[in-house]
Amino acid sequence: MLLFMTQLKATNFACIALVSLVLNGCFSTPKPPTPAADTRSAVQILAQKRQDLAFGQVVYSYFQGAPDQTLLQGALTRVNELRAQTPYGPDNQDRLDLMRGAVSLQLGMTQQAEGIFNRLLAQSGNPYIQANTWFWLAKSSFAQKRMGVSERAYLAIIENDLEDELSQDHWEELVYQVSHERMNMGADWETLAGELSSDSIYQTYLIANQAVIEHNKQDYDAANEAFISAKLLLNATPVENSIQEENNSSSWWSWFNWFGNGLTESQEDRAFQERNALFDRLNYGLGVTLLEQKDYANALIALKLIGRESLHAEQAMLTYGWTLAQENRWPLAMAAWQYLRDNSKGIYALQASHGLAYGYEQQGALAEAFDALRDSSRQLDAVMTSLNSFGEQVQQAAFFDTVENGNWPIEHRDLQILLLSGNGDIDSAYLLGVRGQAKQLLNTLEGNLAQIDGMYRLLDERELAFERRSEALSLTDAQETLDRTQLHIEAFETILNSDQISAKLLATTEQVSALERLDKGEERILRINTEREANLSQKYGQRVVRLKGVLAWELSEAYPATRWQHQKQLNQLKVAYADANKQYTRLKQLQNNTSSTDEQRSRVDVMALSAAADYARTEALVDSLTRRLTEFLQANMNLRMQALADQQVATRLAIIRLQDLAEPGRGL
Amino acid sequence: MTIRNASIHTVKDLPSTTRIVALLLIKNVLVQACLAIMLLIAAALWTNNANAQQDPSDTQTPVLAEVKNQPAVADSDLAAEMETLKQALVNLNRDLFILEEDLLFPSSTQVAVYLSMDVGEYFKLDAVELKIDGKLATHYLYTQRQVNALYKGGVQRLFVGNINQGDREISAFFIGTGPENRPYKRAVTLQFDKDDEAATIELKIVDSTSKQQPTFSAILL
Repeated sequence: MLLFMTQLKATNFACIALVSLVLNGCFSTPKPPTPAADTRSAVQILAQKRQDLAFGQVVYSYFQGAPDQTLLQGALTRVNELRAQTPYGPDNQDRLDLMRGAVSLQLGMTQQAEGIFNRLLAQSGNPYIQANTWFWLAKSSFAQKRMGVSERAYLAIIENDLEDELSQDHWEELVYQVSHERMNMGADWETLAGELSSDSIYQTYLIANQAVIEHNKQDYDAANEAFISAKLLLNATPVENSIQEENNSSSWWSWFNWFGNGLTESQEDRAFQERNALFDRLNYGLGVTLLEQKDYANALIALKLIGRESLHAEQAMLTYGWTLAQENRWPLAMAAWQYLRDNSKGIYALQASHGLAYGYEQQGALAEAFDALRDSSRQLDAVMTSLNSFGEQVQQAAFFDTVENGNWPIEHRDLQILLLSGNGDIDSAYLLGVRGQAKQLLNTLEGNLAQIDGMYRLLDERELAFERRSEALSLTDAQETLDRTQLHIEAFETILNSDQISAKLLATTEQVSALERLDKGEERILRINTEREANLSQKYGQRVVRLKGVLAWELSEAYPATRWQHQKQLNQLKVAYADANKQYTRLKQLQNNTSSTDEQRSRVDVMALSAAADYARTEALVDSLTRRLTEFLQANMNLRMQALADQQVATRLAIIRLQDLAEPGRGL
Repeated sequence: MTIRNASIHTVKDLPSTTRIVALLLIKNVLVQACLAIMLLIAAALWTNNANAQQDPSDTQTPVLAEVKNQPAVADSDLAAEMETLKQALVNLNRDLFILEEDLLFPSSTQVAVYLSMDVGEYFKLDAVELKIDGKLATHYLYTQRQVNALYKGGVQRLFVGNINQGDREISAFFIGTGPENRPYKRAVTLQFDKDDEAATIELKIVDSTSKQQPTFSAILL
């Protein structure tokens, strides 16, 4: 029975084991593949992690809208990459390059940016990189008025089905650029522009430019219609869309999407300014077109809608007056000039005064014409005086630093506009922009030079502190101690290596004292036996001898171990001595060596030289630009002065003629 | 009265009895004509010089300028010169940065703390307070832009400084808004042995979808 039970249990166990095996085979999930073993060293892994952190810092700077910081971080990343010999993977490298290209473009380093974009297009197969690189390249080319690149970018993106790789904002900007180029070439642009969202500011710009083209082709009906469409569209466009900087967070690569969904205060101001300026342009264009169509009433409505602060307003009102004058609609023309003379202090007020004089004369109102001419003459005198004193300001080197918002006389505001926009001979706007950038570089370089001065002071202080420490640290005592120790070691070594080394030398303190006591005992026994007639019992002497024998036996037994112990301690002492000697040597070297600060000082020297050279070069550039701008402005001021003088002569002659007319007998 | 009207009448057409009066009239007419011409010429000169859109003697269509929405970027030697200068400045800044770090934070005493975070669904970061050995090292308040930059994969170097070698303790307190918009404050502590190599510590804020909570960690690299 017992045997049967045992067999049954065994069979059951076998069955369960078999079933388990089968079930495991059927239902257990396969083991995940073992990850490939990381063959990198700990140093390489650490370097890679640091590289990842450096990459993250570039991204952090980029998305904070700090292009200069992004470039700096990118440059540091490359230095670290070379030092640590841990290159980035292709994707991260391409992303770094794309960010570098984008911020280079923002900082006006167009050639560098385009070099990066072209390389990325040639090398990277990543759709995301391809699409975004095409976008940035198209943006750069469009800004430089190089036609065709936007079209190529658009076609490349469409053909390779990369639209989804671009953010909505970037896509719309690209579509706008292509539409604009097609419009300038007279091709169909409306179909493509239909892809833009209805409230996109790009729609307004496109239609406004179409209106300008129609106007310049003298198709005033079409221009009129387009201007009105653009105005209606602009009205319907939300304010936040009035600037083209991306302000949503949909794209990883969007320029300004860190602003979230709203605008910052300064952006909002700029959006309003941009919108108002565009309205002024549209109203001006519409007004001029309506004048061409002789629709004076509506032209006046359009022109009056132009903001008072806009230079277009005064220019438009003057144009309006002259147009009406040509139609002999004197009351309306005179009203426009009157309004301009009373509300403006600039050059257009002077022109309006003349218009008034002309109008009065044409209507036979000679007295009023005389008054208007006298007003005009007085104003001319004042303006000429003001122009003279302004000429002195222009000669000052810092004049162009505040040219955009400085104390520019209101009567010469048109000269400011001329300077800020340039004419056909010289692109003063561009020169001013470059000069502003060069001044910023100078400021940065001044900061760098101050930083370098700080480094020199730091090194000076460190050297001084080092000298003080060196003086306070006496190494003479240490040298003596080491010498003594060396002698001791040699003595110990000699003893331990000697063949005649006594066992007593290696005895413990107790053993030594016991031996000494036994020696004394022997001496005492000898003395007593010598001094006394009756000798001591021999047992005493025998006991001492026996004890000495025992002790000698113990010492001889312990000798090998004890000797080994001593040798070991001597070895340890030698190691400690060697360490101390090494430390001493290092300390001695440190005391006499200032090479680390010397090396740092030479690095600072190199940078000081480099910064000074850059500073001189930038300063020369600023001076050259200032000279060119001054010459340009001075030439225009001279022209203005000549015109004012001619005008003054003509005005005074006209006054005299009028006086003659009023007193007919005087001239006879 | 215009020049054309005045030129219609001639002296011969007038009767002799009225010749003197006519002469006076003609003189007046001529003076007025001269005046008108002068004013017109002056106005024309004036408006040309002042860049007016239109002058009275010229009815040519004014050419409107293109409505721009892009700043022009000139491609010239000047631009190339500027670009070279800018690149030189970037290199100079890079070298200065490295040298300054070497001078101010030698690796034997340097500790650098970095902060990174992922999507931030369960935690909106407001501030981080960092203490080293119980002493406040930095307290950093974040703007929305900075937080967004972190969400997008940015890494912030929160602190760099000098500490002595040996056993050290670093504590980071994360302050912000947690799940369900509740005020949220958590801390992590890391003990480490500072040796003669630069110490790099990474603080990480990661959303744990399983816990529906943010998790905070401090790692010595």
